This record gives sequence, structure tokens and C-alpha cells, in this order.
Amino acid sequence: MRIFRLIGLVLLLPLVVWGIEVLYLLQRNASTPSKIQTQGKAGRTRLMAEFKGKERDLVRDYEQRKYLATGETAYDRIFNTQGQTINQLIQCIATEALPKTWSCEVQVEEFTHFLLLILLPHNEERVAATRIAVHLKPIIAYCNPYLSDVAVFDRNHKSYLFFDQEILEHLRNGGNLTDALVAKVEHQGRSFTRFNSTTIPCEKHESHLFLSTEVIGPSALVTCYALFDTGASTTVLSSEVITATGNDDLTTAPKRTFQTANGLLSCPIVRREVNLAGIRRNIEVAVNQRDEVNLIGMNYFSGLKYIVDSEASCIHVWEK
Amino acid sequence: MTDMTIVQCTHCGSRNRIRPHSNHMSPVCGRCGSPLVGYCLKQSGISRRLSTGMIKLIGILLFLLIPIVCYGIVITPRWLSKDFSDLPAAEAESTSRFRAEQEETLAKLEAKLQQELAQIDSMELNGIASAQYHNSMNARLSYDKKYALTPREKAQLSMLNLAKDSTRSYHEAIKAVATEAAPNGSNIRVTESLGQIGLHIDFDMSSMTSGEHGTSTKHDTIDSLRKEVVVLISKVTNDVFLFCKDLELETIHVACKHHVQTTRPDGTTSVENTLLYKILVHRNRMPKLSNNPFLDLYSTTEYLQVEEDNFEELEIIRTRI
Repeated sequence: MRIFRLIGLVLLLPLVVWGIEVLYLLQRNASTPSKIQTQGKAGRTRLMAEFKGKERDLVRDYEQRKYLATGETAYDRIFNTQGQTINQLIQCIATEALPKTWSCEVQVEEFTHFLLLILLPHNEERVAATRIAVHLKPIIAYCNPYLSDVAVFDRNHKSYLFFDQEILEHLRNGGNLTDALVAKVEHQGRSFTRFNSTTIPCEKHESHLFLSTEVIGPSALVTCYALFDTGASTTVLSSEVITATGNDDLTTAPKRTFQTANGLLSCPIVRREVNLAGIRRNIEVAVNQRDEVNLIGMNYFSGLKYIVDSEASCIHVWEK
Repeated sequence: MTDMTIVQCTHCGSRNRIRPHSNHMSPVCGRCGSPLVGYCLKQSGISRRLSTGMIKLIGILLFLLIPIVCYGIVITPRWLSKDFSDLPAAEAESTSRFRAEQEETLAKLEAKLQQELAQIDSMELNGIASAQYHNSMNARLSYDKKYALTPREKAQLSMLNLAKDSTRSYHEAIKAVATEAAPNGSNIRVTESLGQIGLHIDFDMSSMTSGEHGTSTKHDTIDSLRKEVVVLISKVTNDVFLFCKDLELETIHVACKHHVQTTRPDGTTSVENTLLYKILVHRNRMPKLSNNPFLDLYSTTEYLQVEEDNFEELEIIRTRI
């Protein structure tokens, strides 16, 4: 019996090996083609991605060369851009010609008068007219005869140089800015107040700015001091000022709740004209029934841009 | 008991008594549990001989199966293994075909782009762009309504249309244009004397600028007030001039008014809408007016003749609570 067992064991082992071998071979037969095909497909996908990348590079390179082929210089290329308006032409040429930190805008008035506004950055002192003229040369050359005037604004958004068409023509013809022309440019610049900021003088008390404010209501005009508060969304006026300028029934007026430093405060809302240095705006005003504090809030400055000059205690405001 | 058979276990050698039993049962050794083969062999002489032969036969068969199985192990890969050596080659060929197609596409695209690039003529583009800017400017010069974007341009367009309106009488046309050109609420009159037409416009300062309300003004000094009044008058004059220049006006008179509190010698006060400044432009000077909307002050004031200047009599009083 032992010999039988031995023979059985010896037979079982190769049988198991055979079975495993068969299974392995069948599995290999089944999986190998799909494996090879998957590898081939992956290779082609990689190839496709590679070609797509090459195509992109080619198109990008083409676009760049196409752009370069449209003109010899950057100015030529801007001028030759198809479908561009005159405003865009002046704006793009000026952006190219002026230092990167400067900004510019184009204004059109009365259909044909194109004015280029050059705005100096807030950290730059006034630049001399002769230096501006150097930057203007390509602008004049490429925007002729469309550009009528050029105005230069300082960091407080005040015009200080104005090159009219006559001077621009003189520069275009290769002329230089003589002292007399510089004086004229400066004189015109000072007098050109159309897009200037309005300076609102302030009084400084413990680093707070107070503004002399005219409040115009249905019945009267009252002048008072108001704190300039960039954190206040709405202008707040004391009930004394409100009652002096109109006969609003504050008990029936709509109310709005404000988050203040002293907690929530519910205030009646009325409308008043608020005038700061000639900038008159009809705005919603919250009535302060708790104390005598008047605040100029941000609703007054909606649609306006402003720069606070705390050293000179003033605010420069202009329309957007 | 006599039927019992004594069978010795071939494994442990112990002797076992076995009763007669049916054929399907197999006795085992009571001590070691091994099958009592000898019992079977003892059943009968024929079956004993048969069993021994069978066992030997099975043993031989099993023994023979071993090399067969081993042979099977060796031979099976030859039977079952398939040759996939063609597949990678086919895939490689497909990939190379794909590569060739892509390269061809890329080459075609490159050629097309090169062709397009070669067709770009900067001079031609310059010509097209210049013509486009020129056409755009011409459209603007002829007051194309698509360029009337600002309220001022819209008003100008309206003024132009009124000036060209042939259904209106001459005076009506002038008045209509002046109404458009002048600030809201202006007093406009058209006068005619000896065939010479004069246009008179009186406007309120508050209608043109902010900060002027009743008798109050935003200005701190008379000089600053005067400057603004001159600018406003220049602006109105420019507007009127621009759109009335074809209407053969002999004179244009423009006056600016403001509410002023007047104190009389007897001490009584009253608020009156007083004329602050009035100018006149003659026909012979009108062609010299150059219209620069950005430089009203310079282009206009030198051709204005002042008719009335009442600033000397004014005083600005500041009030504050």
C-alpha cells in the first residue's frame, strides 16, 4: 500500500504542474494580443499628442510670424491691424510708445476731436514737456491726422500739459519744443480743466479728515463738517442737519440697519443733495439720531474716482 | 462464532476476528485502522488472485502515467502556445503608418501656413487700414449717427437736423437749433433789424454746472466765478456757432445769469436772477472761431466782445453752521 501512495503522490505533482501550465498558457494566449494592441494604441496616442503639440507650436509660430509680417515696426503692425477703430489705433499706439507704468485714455468729442489723455502714475513727479514730446513722436506720426490734442495729467489727475493740434503738427514736422511752445503747452495744460480732478480740501484732526459739506434739502442749504469715512457705505448726517434742510417725517421714513463700532444702529433714510467743493450729488443719507456725527460715505463717491492726499489734507476726485 | 475468520493486519500484525458480512463492507484493523486486505484475499481463492492482479495492474498503470504526464508537461507548450510574434510587427507598422499620416498632415499645414505668410503684404494691409481709418473719419465728419454716442454728440446731431430742416421758417430753424445748443431753461430770442438776424441766448449758470443753487455758489472768489462763467459762455457760443454758422446770423449774444441777493441803498434786500456776463460775436469774426471742444477758452474768447460785465458789483459771502 505504501508503494501505491508513493506512486499517487509522484503522479499528482506533475498533474498539478501540468494543470498550472495549461492554465497559464490559455491565459497568455487570451491576453497577449490585447496587451500588444493596447501598447500599440498607447504609442499612437503619444504620437498623436506629440503631433498636436507640434501643430500648436506651428500655428503659434505662424501667428507670430504673421503678426511680424504685417509691418516692419511695432507701430506699423498696430497701424495695419485690420478692423480697428481710430480710438483703438490711438490707444494702442500710445500704449506702445509710452513707458509701461504710464496709462492713457482716448476721448472723442464732437465726432472728430480725438484727445489722448496721458496719466502719470501716482508715484511719479510731473514729467517735463520736452520729455513727453519725445514719447509723443511715434504717436503723432502714426495717428495723424486723427489725433487732435494730447493732455498730460499728473499723479493727482490734474492736467498740466496740453499739446494742441498746432503744436502736434509742429512736432510731426520735426520741430522741437522751444521755450515759447513749452510755455504755451504748460499754460494750456493748466487751463484745461475738463477732465481734471476736483480737489476737496479737508481739515485734519487726529489723522481723521473732515470735509466742509454743503447739504441741500427741500427747504434750505446748510454747511457742516463731515468725517471722510471710507468704511461707511452710506453717508450719515445728524438729525440736526436733516431737520434744518427739510421737513422729513423721520418716524415714517424707511429705515436701514447699519453695523457700527457701537453695535447695530437703525437709521431713517432720506434723500439730500450733498455738495463737496462743487461736486453735487443727490444721494441717500442715513439720519444719525444718536449723536451729532456726520460721515461722508462711499455712496457719495459712486461713479467717481478719488485719491486721498493725506499729506496735503485733500481728496482729488474725478469722474470715472 | 464458528463463522468468524481470523485475519492478521498486514500493517501492524495484530490479529482481527471478522464476522461474515456483506460484500460492500470493507473490514479494517481494530488496532491501526488499516484495511484488512488479507481478509478479502481470504474470501475465496479466485477473488484473492483477482484483487492482487488488479492492484498490480493499477500500480503499473499509475506508474506508466507518470512519464505520460511528464511528457504532457513538456509537450503542452508546443500545442497550446500561439505565435504572437506578428502582432508587435503589425502594431509597429500601424504606428509608423500613423506617424507618416501625421507628418504628412503637419507638412501640409506648414506649407499652407507658409503660403498664407507669403501672401501677407504689409503695404497692402497699410493701404486697407488707411482707407478704413479715412472712411471712418469721413463718416464722423458727416455726423454719422452711429458715432453719436455722448449726449453732446446726440444733441449736435439733433441740432444739425434742425438746421437742415427746410419745412421750418428761418427764424424757427434758428430758434430750434439754439434751443438744442443752449442749456435747458435758457431764454432764446431771434431778432431781425434791417435784414440782419441776431440770436440772443440768456442761460442760468446753475443749468450748466454743479454747485450753483439759488444765490449760493461753489466759488470762493469772484475771479474763480468769472473764469467758470467765461468757460460756460464759450461753450454755449461754440455750440451755437457750430450749428448756426450756415444760417447767416449777423450776431450771436450769449449771457450768463445767476441768482443774486441785491441790497438797495435803503437797506432792503431782494433776490434777482441777475445777468453776470454777456458777450457778442459778430458775423465777420465767426469764421475765425475754431471749434476745439477741448479748448473752448482759447479758441473762442479772443473773438468775443464783452457787452456786459457785472462781476465788479458782486461779493461772495460764506455762511456756515
